[in-house]
Formats: sequence, structure tokens, C-alpha cells
Amino acid sequence: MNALALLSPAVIGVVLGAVLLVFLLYLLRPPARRLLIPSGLIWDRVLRASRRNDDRLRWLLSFLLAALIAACIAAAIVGPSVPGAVGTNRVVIVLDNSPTMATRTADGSTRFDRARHLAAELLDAAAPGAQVLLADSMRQIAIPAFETRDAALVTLNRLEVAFGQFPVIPAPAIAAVADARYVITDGVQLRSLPSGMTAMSVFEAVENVGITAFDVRAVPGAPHRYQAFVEISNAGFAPKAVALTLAGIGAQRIERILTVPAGSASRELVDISAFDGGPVRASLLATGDGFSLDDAAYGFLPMRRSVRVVLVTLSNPFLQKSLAAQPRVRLTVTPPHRYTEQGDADLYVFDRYAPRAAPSVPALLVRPGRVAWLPDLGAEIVHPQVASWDGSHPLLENMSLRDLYIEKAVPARAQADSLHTLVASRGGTPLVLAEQSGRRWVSLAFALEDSNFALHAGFPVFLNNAINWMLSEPAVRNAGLGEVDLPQSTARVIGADGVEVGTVRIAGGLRFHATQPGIYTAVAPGERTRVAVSLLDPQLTAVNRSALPEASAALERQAMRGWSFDPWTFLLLAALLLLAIEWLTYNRRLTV
Amino acid sequence: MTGNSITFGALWPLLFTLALPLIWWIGTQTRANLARRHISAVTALRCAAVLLVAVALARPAWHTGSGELSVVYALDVSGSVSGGFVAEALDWIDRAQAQMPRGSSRIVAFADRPVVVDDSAQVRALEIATGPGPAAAINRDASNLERALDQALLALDRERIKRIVLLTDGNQTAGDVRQVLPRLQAAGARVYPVVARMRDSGDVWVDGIQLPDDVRDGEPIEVFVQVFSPTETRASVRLSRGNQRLGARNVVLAPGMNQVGFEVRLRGTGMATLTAEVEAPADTVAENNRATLTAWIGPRPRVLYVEGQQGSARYLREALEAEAIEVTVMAVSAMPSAADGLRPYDAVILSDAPAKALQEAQMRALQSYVRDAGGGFLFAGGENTFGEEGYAGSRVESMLPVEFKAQERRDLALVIAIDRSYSMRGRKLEYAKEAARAALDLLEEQHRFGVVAFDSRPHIAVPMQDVGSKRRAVDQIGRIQASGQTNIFPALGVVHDLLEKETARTKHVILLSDGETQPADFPGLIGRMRANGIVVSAVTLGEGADLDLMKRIADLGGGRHYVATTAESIPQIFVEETQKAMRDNMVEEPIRVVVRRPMAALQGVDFGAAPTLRGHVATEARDTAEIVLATSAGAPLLVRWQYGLGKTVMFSSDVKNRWAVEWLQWPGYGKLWAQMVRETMRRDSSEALDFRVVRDGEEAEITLGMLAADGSFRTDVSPRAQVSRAGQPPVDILLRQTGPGVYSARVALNTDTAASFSLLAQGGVPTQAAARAGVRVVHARFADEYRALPPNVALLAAIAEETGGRVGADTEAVFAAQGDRGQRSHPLWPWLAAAALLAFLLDIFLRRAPFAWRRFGS
Repeated sequence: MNALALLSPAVIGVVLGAVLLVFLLYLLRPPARRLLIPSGLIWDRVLRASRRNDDRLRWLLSFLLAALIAACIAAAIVGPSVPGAVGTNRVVIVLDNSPTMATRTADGSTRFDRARHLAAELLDAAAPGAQVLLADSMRQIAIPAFETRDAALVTLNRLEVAFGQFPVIPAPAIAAVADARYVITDGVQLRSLPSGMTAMSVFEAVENVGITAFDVRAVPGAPHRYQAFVEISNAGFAPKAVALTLAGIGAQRIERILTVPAGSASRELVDISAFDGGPVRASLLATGDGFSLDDAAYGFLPMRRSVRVVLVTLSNPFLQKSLAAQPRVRLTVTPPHRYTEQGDADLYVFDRYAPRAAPSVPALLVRPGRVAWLPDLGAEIVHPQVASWDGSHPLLENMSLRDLYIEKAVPARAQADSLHTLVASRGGTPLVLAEQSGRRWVSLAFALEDSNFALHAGFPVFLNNAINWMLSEPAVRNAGLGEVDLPQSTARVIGADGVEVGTVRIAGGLRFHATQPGIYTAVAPGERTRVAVSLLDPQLTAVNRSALPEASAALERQAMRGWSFDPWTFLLLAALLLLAIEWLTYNRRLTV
Repeated sequence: MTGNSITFGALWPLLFTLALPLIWWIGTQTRANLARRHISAVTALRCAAVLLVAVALARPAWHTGSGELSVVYALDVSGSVSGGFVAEALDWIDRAQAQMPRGSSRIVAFADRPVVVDDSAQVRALEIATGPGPAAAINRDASNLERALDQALLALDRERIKRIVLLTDGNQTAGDVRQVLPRLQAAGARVYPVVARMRDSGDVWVDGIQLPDDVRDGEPIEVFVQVFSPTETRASVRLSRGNQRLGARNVVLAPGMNQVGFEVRLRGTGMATLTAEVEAPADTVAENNRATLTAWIGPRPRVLYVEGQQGSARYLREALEAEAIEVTVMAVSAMPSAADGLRPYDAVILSDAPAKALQEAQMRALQSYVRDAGGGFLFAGGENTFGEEGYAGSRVESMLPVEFKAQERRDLALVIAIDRSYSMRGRKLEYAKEAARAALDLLEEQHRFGVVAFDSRPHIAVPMQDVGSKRRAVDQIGRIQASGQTNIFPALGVVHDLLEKETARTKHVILLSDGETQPADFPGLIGRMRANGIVVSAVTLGEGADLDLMKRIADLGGGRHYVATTAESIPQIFVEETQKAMRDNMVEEPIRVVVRRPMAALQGVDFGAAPTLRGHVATEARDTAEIVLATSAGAPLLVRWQYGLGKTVMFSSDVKNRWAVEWLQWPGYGKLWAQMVRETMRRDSSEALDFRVVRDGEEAEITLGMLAADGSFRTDVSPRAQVSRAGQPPVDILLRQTGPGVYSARVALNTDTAASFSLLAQGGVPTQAAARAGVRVVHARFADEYRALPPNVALLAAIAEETGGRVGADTEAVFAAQGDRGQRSHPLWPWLAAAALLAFLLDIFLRRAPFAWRRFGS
């Protein structure tokens, strides 16, 4: 129902119509009641004379009351508005729930708490029948639409600070026809607003130091050494003493005390070679810090646990040496005729041999023979040329096969869906296959002595990759707060606090929402993925970079006081009151 | 809330209903002249009016499930879909609208951005531009499915069953449609993609140009032009650099992406802008037929060529220089003895340098240069690298992919020439005879042996014979007696005669003398002996001998010269020399080269036409080395491996006019060695500075990796990059450190102008490093819309699956409720107020109408 101005022709027309109807009704003359009295003629004349003036007055009063009642109800029905009264009927409120709104202010509440409180005040101040379009800058409300004040309040209470997208004013909030539009924001990320929107600031400057860069890498000149780089930014207004702690999965802990100048950053390069493999947490502690999401960041060091590998071969000193040279490998060598599955093996390497039954642990097969549990083999091909390889697969990470030369190979003939071709010759013939689901295995279609693969600088890298991948050492990736996409189509995601995180399927993969920095673990059948989630965004750490002044909220709140006005409610209330009065006067015969 | 329900906005107004009994009571106590029935009816109406107003004030709303549809048609009008499809789609939308049951619909026309309209006529009237046009126009040069679906979602009626019909080819060129999927899911909006036709089936375009990472001045490289064709077609592909045509090829393009290769050399250092163009008969869009790439051409590779025989250096030097490699030739003695001295060079070639000529410091520097600095090292054999001067057990050998393993000679003819002049009598001669016997004792049965004793005349003491019976030869040696003067020349003549007839591959002479001899044409004689493959070693005994002559004889004879200061040392010298003669790693015989492992460095070298080599140094390849070339007998000839950060290559023959003399005229000679040098030399990727600029959508990502000389991370710099665009002043950008030794920044790119990026020599970045980083250029490119890719049905299917829709659905499927229900809210208060008004008017009517008075008996 559209709001109409109080004195619009439509309102006036409807009201006059109702009044006219009442008037017509009052033109009806109810018959006088006959009473038997003595000397009726005389008394009748006297009564007629005295009643004429009194009845007219009562009729008039009665008509006015009835007309007023009808006019009030009729006017209420058409829903008039008062020109100039703000937000009388339709109000747009946009709540900024971008990450910097999680900044804590001096009273302990966050900017978002304040914004929500302010929005609730706006709703309270709105007319009871007002239509409110509530939207948020991070699009948690999928389809913003006008709704009642109470429904908007329910929606408001569901909103929270969100991450992962750039905040915007949703289009409906801009395009909707409304009497007033408000954006409640700290002005840090929503820096400019469309015309016609009133900014209500919840910005309050705070102290904040945060980790704006964190990365862990092996030193190129000494690959067994690892260094962590940490950048700490001070977005506050005074130099800040900060305690930086780097902690590993074991008892390793490195602490440093730094003083970060105001509006500047300190950078630290820390040797963490002594840390065990696994998560590394960088955290900082500073007094009066207003924004906690950037106080911790996570990285990952490669795992270092030992792996029991059994090489099944007649003789292959080179492969034996290469496996033994892997830093984590504890190698046992056995000839094929003595092969029986050993209970304590983590992984088998079958050289020019394949057992009749699939081992219960992963296996790397080099030119295996024909067995039932492996894909059927095709005919031997000579000098297959490597045409493509999947460099994005963990098995071929950091490798180039540009100069791979193969004299002869016996490729697999058929492929199941779960098989992934890592290296293919021209025509797509698989030269290296990997079984991705269930018990993993990797199969080379060629013997090492029939190729120069083993002589490649990347061969030890391949062995290392293969061991890590087949033993499902968790793949590691870094991500920011917010939406995190995973390639797995089915997985459970466990949050940093050990609680399962909700996921949604998105275009063949999974997506989960990371609301806190930490290590998240995606557990899928046969594989785990560790996601190190950190904020690491200088733009967000700079929580004081607001485009809005402080304390403008109070002014806006003041301006809001006057717009709680709802004509139809008042009209109906008036009608209700008049109904009672008219009823009383009629029954007391004050009116007719 | 999906069922029917009523909610109240406020409950306090219902308190007014408490007044109803009072109103009723007032009615019962009325003084009006109405009959009881009459007043009861009027009171009831008044109570109803009050009740209705009170309830209306409570703002009741009636929520009902709704089967009404809200449909948004999102129509892709970008350049990648055919114009015919857009017209057909609009007709389809009109027909669908006619079939649509109750509900509302809107149309979102989108390309780079969405525009919401009410009907197809408005879509036809929309201003759609190619390229950046008026602000109001939709730009066809992009497809942003994310924004389109987002806008479609916002255009839906929240209270109805939500449907989005997405008419597109699914090839998004901006945004990420996955971002909007959670919102679609949360809103319960099903998406029904309708797959659009491709724009033009015959359009061919240049997708890009691929160059090697590190291109050097004059280096022969293969440039690949990536050309996409939807069908098999003939096409002409041209590659040019400015106005210079680098190549043109007429090719038959296969459906899909094609790689058209051009072998080119880019001359000069600095930026080189390459342009690739394609022409095809069925091509329809000209905008996508051209691509531009600017490469940074680094300086020519610098190679330090250390040659043992300076006079022979010109062959390889000239061959490498002809292949655009800068060569510095240096004597072994001048080779730097510190790794820093080698760092300016990309590779070091060590050719036929005697191991003894290399100092330990030089070897250590070479090792550090290769292992720690990633330098390339090529070792070429030669006559000076075998035997006593060999590298067996040396630091250089540890760097090489081979071990110098001497081989026992199966056929050796050894002649010992002993000076039996009078001066040799006594101990000297006895030790000489003992030495000859010791030498004989070392020889194997298959070897041949002879002894010539000489004074002024030669005397064959032991005729050439198989070593099978040593006793007789030992006896014959024992009969040598001292007499006369020393005359070496005739003795050597007899030795020559003896060995000339021998068929053994190795013919060796050990000459022992303690006196001066008469002058003669030694060079001539020894030259003939060398021509017949005879090697002469000389042992000078005592101080009375002609030391210079004996040394000269050994030098001319290709053998070794020993000085025996005492007679007692003669047997040991003879044994040593015999052992060396028996076990040598130099093989001088015609060698046919066999390719064992094809590799990139051998590309284009025709070994079938390669002449034979005349010899090589016998080696044994290490386990982890790769034998690239071998002799026809299987001996390793060209072997390579990775050594630390660098690569080393061993060529066991030589690279000059001794063993490789025929190769010098072979066209493959220069190509092979230039390619081997380029394959082995240090590349930028292994250096301490890695400056990259990569286009990422509408932005360029600048990344700089910096390492110190010892391989540790550089964290003490504040690098800045300069961004230059045509017609604009250059802008300096600070690269922010984001990881150990990693600095990066992002810069917005213009769609229509190229941007060049250079590293500034500021903030701790050395001038040389900044210069070496070069300039990177990111060119404006034709819009992705002009890549007429087939529809991305997989993406559209994923969108449909994730939202519960279906690809290619008909209108019946789109409009089917499928269990979905909308939720409509109806405010009831206006109706209640109207009812209250009606009740009130009826109340008045009953009170005033004579009819009512009569009816109720008032």
C-alpha cells in the first residue's frame, strides 16, 4: 500500500465520501415513539416547540461525531502520510558488516554491536506500520525486501560480521523507493556512499597492531632450514610494544618483543628450522588492541615423521639409493619371490613387479606386470614422447618433465574414473597413472632403466611427492577469512576449535566459511587437506582509516527522533475513542 | 513459515477489546427510544466496530503459502553469443511469458554489467556497445555471470516461488559466478540455464604468444603462437617484430588450440615486442586476430673458455660467437682462482687442460661456481686430459658426471731402447737391464716386446716378439754389454723400423740414455714415428746426458720425460712408464657418434651426417648421470648431470682440431656446442633476483623474489617498481614484502593501453640487479569475449545442480512448483478498518432508518 499525503485528493475524496454517507444516513428521520398522555394536543404542541431546537443541536452533534468517526476510519484505510515526516512508511537501513566492524571500541562492544544497536533504535523509532528494507554490506541477506519493522528486527538479529568479499551497498537498497535511507558503517571499507543515503557512523578510533604478512619457506641456499617472515603493522596513534610469539606443534616457541612505530610496520625473519613439521602459529600480544582477528596467523611446515618403505625388486641399486636418500624413509629391500605383505610397512615400491593381491597400504609401481587389481595393460610402445603432464597435481609439484625420455613403455589400456593420468604421451596414452580414491597407488608405465626419469634432477622430488601424496600427508593451503573453496566434492571440515564447520557444495567442490583464523582440516575419504586461515590484510588492519568522522551517530540519532509518526494508527485510535464517545452520548440521549 | 498463519504487529491494541462489555452494558442501559431487540442489534454492531478497529490497530498480517512465481530471465547479450541467439531468446521469453501461470517476471540483460527491465521490448531498446561506450550502455566486451545472477536474485520477489532462467554460453570473463551460488541457495532460487549458441562457428583467433622464460640476444628460440580454431581450416600465421617479419607459416589448424612454432633469433638487448597475426578464410571477427607480447631480451650468454692449447681455441670460439655467445678465451693459468671471478660468466668451458696446470684454488673456485652459484660447466677432453695429466681423483672429476677410468690395453707393442755406451757400464747398465726385465714382467701374453741396445750403432737385443715366453727375452737382456759411444738417432731409426711393422694400436718406446749424442734430424724421425702412432718416452740418466734433447724427444714423441738421478731409480721409472703405457685412458681411433638420449640441446643436430671423431678419453659414467652421446662401442661420449645448483657436461673427445678435426667443418658443430652451452649455462631462474609481472584479470601482479649471494632471503630492501603507460607520467609503486625474500604489489590495468614495469635501483636494489631485471610489458589485449569458446556447459550444469535447476529446461519445468512455495503476507488492518467503518455505518443506519424501527418494533 503506497503512502498518500495527508491532504492528497485521494484522501480528501475518500474522507468526504464517508462523511457524505454519514450525512445521508443522518438525513433519515427515525419515527417518533407514540406516548399516550392527557391533553395531548396541548402538550404535543409544547413538546414539539421545545424539542425542535434541542433536536437540531443533538442531530448536529451526533452527525459531527459520526462523520468524524467515518472520516478517521476512511482516512486510515487509504494510508495517508505526512509530507516531510522522515521514514513515515518506507525506510532503507543498510548495515555494514564488513570485517573492520568487528573492531572493539572503548566500552568493550564492537562497532558492529553498535551498528546493530543503532539499527534497532531506528526500527524502534520507526512508525509501527513502517516498511523497512534491511540490507547488509556483505550480502548475508540474499534478497533484501521491504518488511515490517518486527520482521526487520528478526533479520537484524541474524546478521553478523562477515568476511571474504568486498562490502557493497546492495542494489535494492539504492533502487528501492523509500522515504529515507541509512547506512550504518565505520566508513573504513565502505568509504563512499551513493547519493541520497545518510551515513550513520559507528567509527571510534582504537589502538590496533596486527599481523599483515606471514609466510614460512625453506631457505633456497640451505633447503633443510626454514624461515618465517612476519610483518606487524601498527594502525594506532602511538608506538606500540608487541610480544610476538611463533609456536610450533611441539614445544617449540620463539618469542620476541618489538616496538612498532605508529602508522608503520616491523618485519621479522625468524629461523624456525628447529620446529617440528606441522602448523606454525604466529601470534602477537599488545595492550589495548582493538581488533583481534589480525593478532594470529598460521602457516605450515612440511611433516617430518619417518616412513617405512619396502622396495620389492630383483635389483635396482639406483632406486634403492634414491629411496634411501629420502630424509624420512626407512627402507627395506626384498626380492619379489620373498614378498609377503609386512604389517609395519607404510608404503611399497614395486619395481618391475606387481603382487597378485593389492597391498593394504599405498604402492608405487614401476613398470608393473599384468595383475587383476591394476588396469589392464596395452601393447608395448617404443619411444613415446611426453606430450603433457599435470603440473598442478601434488605428485608433480615443482617438477618439469620437458626432457623426459622413454625408450619403451607398457601403458595401461583402460581407465576407471578414479584414475588420474599424470603424464601422457601424444594421443593421451597414460605414462604415469595415479589411483585417487581408496587405497592410493601410482604406476609408471616404464621401467627406470628404460628412461632417463631417474636421472632427472626432479626424480627425488617426485619420490618425495609420491610418498607424501600416497600416505595422504595433508595437502596444505593458505586462505583468508571468509569463503574457502576446496576441490573435494565431499568432505567434513573441522574448525580450529575441533567443531565441524558447515559446508555447501559449489560447482563440484566444497565451500566453507572461516570466521576465525586457525588451521581448518578437510577430511575426505583417503585424504586430508589442511587450510591455514589468516587475515593478513593491511587494509583491514588499518581499522582507523575511516572516511567518516567520529560521533556523527549521535547527530543522526537526534535527527531520527522526529520521524516516529504513523497517521493511520492515530486515525484509528481517534476513531476508537470517538466510537466510544458517540456510543455513550447516544445511549444517554445526548445525541440522536 | 510455509503454511497459513496470522501474526500481529502489536498486541497492546487488543486491550481495547476489554471495553466491549462496557459498551454492551451502556447499550443495555440506553435511554434511546429503541426496542430491546433494536438496541441489541445496534450494540452488537458497535461492539463489532470497536473490536475491528482494535484488532486493526494490532496490525494483523495474514501469511499464506503462494504458488505464484517470480521469474527473472537473465539474458547474456555479450559479444560471445550470437546476435541471432539474443533475438531468439527474446522471442522465447515472450512465448514463455504467455504460458506463465500467476506471477511476475523481469528480464536482466547482462554483459559486463546487468540491467533490469520489465519486458523484451525494453531489452531490444537497450544501448549495447562494443568496448567502453556511453555510461548507460552495456559493454559487450565482458560476461559477468556473477553480477548477472546477483542482480537477477535481487530482482526476484522474495515472497514468491523464485526462478531464474539464465540464457548464456556460460563463458564468464569477469567475476566468479561461484560467489553468488550460496546466496542463490539461501534464497531458494532455482537457476535454469539455457545454453546459448556460439557467436560464429568459423572464427579463428590468436590466443597468445609463448616465449621461453629467459631469452638472450641472438639466441635461437622457438616462439609458439597459440591459435584457436573451432574447425579444421587453413590459415596463415605471421610473426613480426615491429616492421620486421620474423616468419610466416601456412598451416592447417586442427579444431581447438593449435601451437604454431617459429624458430627465431631476437637480436639486441632490451624490450622486443612481437606481434602474431592470423588469417583464415572463414574468419569473421577481426578484433581477435592479433596478439602482442613484449619480451625482455637479456644480454648474450658469457662463456669463459679455458683452453689447454691456446692455438686451438679459435675453432670453438668462432663457432660459439657465430651462435651469439660471447666467449672469453683464457689460458689455464689465467683462470680465476676465486668463485667471484667466475660469476660474471654464465658457463665455463674447460678444454684439454692438463690437470696439473690447474691449481687447487682454481678447481675449488670452479666447484663453488657450479655447485653454489648454479654456473654451467662443460668439460671437453683431449690429449692433455688423460694419463698422468688426467683428472682421476681430482676435485674437477668429482664435479663431472663421469669417472676417469683407465683401460688396460689389449694390444701394446713396447720397445725399450737402452744406451749401452761405455759410460753405462757397471751399475747403470745392470739397473737398466733390471728395469727392462721389470717392464717385461709387467706385460701380458698378448703384448709384444723388443729391446734395442745402442752405442754408436743400434743392436737388436730382443727382437720383437710376443711376450708369451719371457725367459728367452730375459736371457737376451742379460747379454747386453757396455761398449762404444752414444748415438741415439740410428737406434730410434731401428726402433721405428721395428714398430712400424707392428699392428698393435699402441706402440710405445722407452728410451734410456746417459750421454750426449750426435746431432741429427730428430724432429723428422720422431715426426714419422708419431705419424705411425708411436709414442716415445725418454729417461735421462745422470748429469752427463743431453737433458734438453731427451726432453725434446719426449715432447716430440708425445710421451713423458723422466730424469733418473741415480741408477737405482731406473727400474721404478720403467715400471711406472710401462704401467702407463699399458693402462691408458686415451683411445685414439675413429669414433662414430650414437645418440643415446635425445634432449633439447640435440634438437636440429643431424648426427647421421656427423663425421667421425678421432679419439676420446675413456671414462665411466656415474650412476646418476645421463649419457646423451656414446661411441659406437658404447663408451660414454657426452654425459651430463646436475651438480648442486648447476649443471655439468663432460665431452670425452675434444672440441678442436685433433680428435674433432672433421667436426670443425660439420654444420652441426657450432649448433651442437651452442645448444649445449645454452642448456648448461646458468639461467635467470636460478639467480638471486626474480622479477615477474603477471596479468590477473584487470590487474597486474608484480612479484619480486630476492636472495642474497649465499641463498638466504633478502629482507633488507624496499624495492619499488615503475609503471609507465602511454600518455601518462610514470608511477612508482612500493613493493610490499609478503614473505621471506618476496615482495609484491598489484596494479590496475587499463583495457586499452599497454603498461610497462621496471624495477628501480632504489631501496637497496643494486643498479645491476635492476638493470638485469629488465622491463616487463603487459599489453592491452582483445576482450575475452572475442574468444569464441564453446559454451561452458559444465559450469552451467554445476550452477543448475547447485541451485536445484536444470540445464536446457523447457518452460513447463521452469514454471513447475516442484514443491516450492512462496510466502505472501497480507496486512489485514485496512480490511478490518473497512469492516469497522461498514459496521459503524450500519449501526447508524439501524438507529436512523424507519424501516429498522418498524422491523425491530421500536
